[in-house]
Amino acid sequence: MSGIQISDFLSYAGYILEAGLLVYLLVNGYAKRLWELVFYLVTSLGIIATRSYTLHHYGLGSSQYWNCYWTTDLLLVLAAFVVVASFFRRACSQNGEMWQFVRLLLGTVLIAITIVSFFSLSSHKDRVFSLFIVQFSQNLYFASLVLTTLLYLMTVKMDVADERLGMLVSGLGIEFAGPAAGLALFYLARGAELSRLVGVYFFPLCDIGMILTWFYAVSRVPDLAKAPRRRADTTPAYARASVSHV
Amino acid sequence: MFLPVLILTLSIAMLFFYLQTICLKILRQEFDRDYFLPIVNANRLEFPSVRRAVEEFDAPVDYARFCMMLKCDFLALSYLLRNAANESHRYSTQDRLLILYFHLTYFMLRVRHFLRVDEKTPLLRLTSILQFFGNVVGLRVNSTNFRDISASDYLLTL
Repeated sequence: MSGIQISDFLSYAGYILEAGLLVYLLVNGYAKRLWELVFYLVTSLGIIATRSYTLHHYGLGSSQYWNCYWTTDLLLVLAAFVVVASFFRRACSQNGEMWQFVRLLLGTVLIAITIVSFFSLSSHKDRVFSLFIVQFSQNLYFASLVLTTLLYLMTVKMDVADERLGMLVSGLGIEFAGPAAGLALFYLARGAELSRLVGVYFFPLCDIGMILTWFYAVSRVPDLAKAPRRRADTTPAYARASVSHV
Repeated sequence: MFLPVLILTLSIAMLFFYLQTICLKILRQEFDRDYFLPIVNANRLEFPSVRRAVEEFDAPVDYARFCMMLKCDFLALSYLLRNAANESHRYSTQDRLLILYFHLTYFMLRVRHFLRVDEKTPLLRLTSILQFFGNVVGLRVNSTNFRDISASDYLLTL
């Protein structure tokens, strides 16, 4: 099996899993409670369909496909940013003041990335819009990775009881951290075989990792309302059970 | 050059951090009772005694002996995961992820032993993974209809 076939197989496996998770969410009545997942999956699947249509009609080397690819990439990163913001809101559900602060932080990050992306391209006045989209989406991507880490640390610090939220955030972390590492390696090892392998295998694997983690979070981790009451002690599982029972 | 190296290092560290977090969250899954106890008794598994030795007695870690005990328990439990009350005779995705996590933690234990730093944390983590495997096997066995033979009788005939 050639590299392109494996890459296609992984990509299609990711699409099938995304569609499967979307169906699972809709059929089991999670559409309202986990609207951010539904929103992200619908956006992602819509983008896949749009890219396939443009590729089929205009070809890989066309400017239409280039514009479509990067515009949809921007939409996908914005959708992920909305998911991160929504998870922040979920984590701050018991703390209104914290949510006010986080909302301000998220707005500031978005405005700062817009300004930085615009000024970093002031020398390319002829293609400013298309290059702005590329720069903006890449900056927002890394900012989302940092925000996801902040979100995870916040859930730990505030002792958020929602186990499912922690699992969903971890899945999102894989989706952001893997490709961010891949892109940095791609930049450092320009033209090398290693960087090509990263693009071919690693990105779809991270996507699959996120969807599988979300699947697990939705299907196996109990909802906050249904979660069993924690035991009085908060020691980890491996320290909890006593050998004297054996 | 500095920025991509920094992003690469941080991103890889975060990727491993999130993967570990997912494994720990799976391990934290609550079972309504300790299903692993009959499995431990029936198969004479030794990880509870390793945990007790590490937690309760502040004695130096008997590295070679503990490693052998945990490795043997892992072999027994991974066999049971695949074959005990499991019609498909295949690991689930969760099992595979935790088996990989066991191997990585075991590798970290060896690295820590080589560097002579704290060995107790990875040892306790390995016992927690084995306890989870025991709970999964126990839960499967418990929910299977064995007619008039007990779960431990069945396991002993495997």
